[in-house]
Amino acid sequence: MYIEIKNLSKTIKNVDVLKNISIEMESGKIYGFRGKNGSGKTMLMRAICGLIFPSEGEIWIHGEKLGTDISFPRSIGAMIETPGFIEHYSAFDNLRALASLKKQVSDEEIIEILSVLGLDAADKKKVKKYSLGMRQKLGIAAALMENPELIVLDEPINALDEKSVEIVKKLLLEHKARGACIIISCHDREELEFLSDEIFMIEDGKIIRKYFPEEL
Amino acid sequence: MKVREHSFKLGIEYDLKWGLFYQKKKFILPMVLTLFFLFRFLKLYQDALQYIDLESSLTFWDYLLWIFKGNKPVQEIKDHFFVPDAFFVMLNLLLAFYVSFYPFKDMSRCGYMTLFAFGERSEWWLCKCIWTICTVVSYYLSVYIMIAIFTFAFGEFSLLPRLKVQGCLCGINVLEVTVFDLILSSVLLPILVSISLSLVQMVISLLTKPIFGIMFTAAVLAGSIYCMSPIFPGNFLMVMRNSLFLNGSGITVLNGFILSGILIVGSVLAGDIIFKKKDILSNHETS
Repeated sequence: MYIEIKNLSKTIKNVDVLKNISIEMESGKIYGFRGKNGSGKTMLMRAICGLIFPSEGEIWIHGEKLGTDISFPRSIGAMIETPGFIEHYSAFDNLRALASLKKQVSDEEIIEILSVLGLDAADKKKVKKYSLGMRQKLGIAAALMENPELIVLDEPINALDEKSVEIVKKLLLEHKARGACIIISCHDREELEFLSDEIFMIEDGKIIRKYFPEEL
Repeated sequence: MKVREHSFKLGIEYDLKWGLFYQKKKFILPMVLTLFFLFRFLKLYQDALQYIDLESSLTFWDYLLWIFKGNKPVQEIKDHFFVPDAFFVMLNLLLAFYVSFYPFKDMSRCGYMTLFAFGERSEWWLCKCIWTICTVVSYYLSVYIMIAIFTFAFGEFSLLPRLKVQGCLCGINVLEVTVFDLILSSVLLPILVSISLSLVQMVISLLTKPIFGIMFTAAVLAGSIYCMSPIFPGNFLMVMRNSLFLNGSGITVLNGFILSGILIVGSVLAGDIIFKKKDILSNHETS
């Protein structure tokens, strides 16, 4: 997986939400996006996922141009903002419905990922009764269950307890080790610097600084 | 349109399973609605039997034509206040609700992963169009099944409707109507017209929001009630405005098929073009 973002800009309702962003990312690494609310982190993630189209510039994923050659990255797991689900289904049914689209994941694998994240697959409780933390875990499960090549997680450790944060960190490092390209955003600087190989600081839609945490 | 066969097939399977089969309970409501109006017709018929010499029983087609009768043209209502046909309004508005929200859940936060799994935007759109068509067909089937059950209990299965019943109670002439005419005008045409309206509604919803799609359909239905013109597709949903039953005047079946065909093809193509360029944002990002 190789991602190349070239001079990406995006304007929405006359507001420049992304300005001339150029980044290169590759497999087997974790990239962190840092910035305050409204800086453009989520919008950049949306662009990488193919959910929005650049006003200018291009995004290439593994040699294919997003929006022209492909609509969305071919192998992607993503959680953008607070995840939502089919409210009247249980966690297991939600993931099973999702898994039925590609038929790459068995029921046992779904049960396992839910279990690792502290959710009970046998629990028939409907998602509408889930807390924010439980929804967050389910969103992460949905993003990771098919072992995608590209993982995009918007503030994955938001609303999680300490134990769950450690589990998520461990999972992300495992996926990095198997070769996934992982993009995460996080308000917690320490956690982000622990996980990331490279961090991009975003402010007002621009990358103002990039650095390698291990050099600090 | 870019479509990959294998994932397209899985996409359709997904929508039909999770968007239709597992939501089959919602078809109980149109059946209940139909049942209510069938009982109303039966009572009307039984009351009329005391004063008018009518045939001794009702057939499947009698019930079906009554259910889908709609309204006479407004201009013909001179001696009393015009009241839109309740079943026409309720049945079609309910359908508008049923087809409005499911497709667009994939464009909210809970649906991004579903969207990605479809692979290509065209595939997603085509699958949703197929889901819409299947939902409309299932909706009508639920109504027909209820009519059939009611006929089994309170009527007769006959190839044709009753001449006097239709003339006196529905105000339509079925003298020269054949079974083929009935199937074409009272079964196939309404389904096709509803499909076309639902697909246009989907396109409006794609451009704006599902609630505006419903409002559009409601406006078309209202326009159809008050204006007998082929421009308003709702006219083809009303038996009382069909030229087959009005001695040559009224809306022709052929116009209905042509209009539906144009709207269906146009909606599918327009939706594909629109969706291929649409930014998918959350509500707070669009405001």
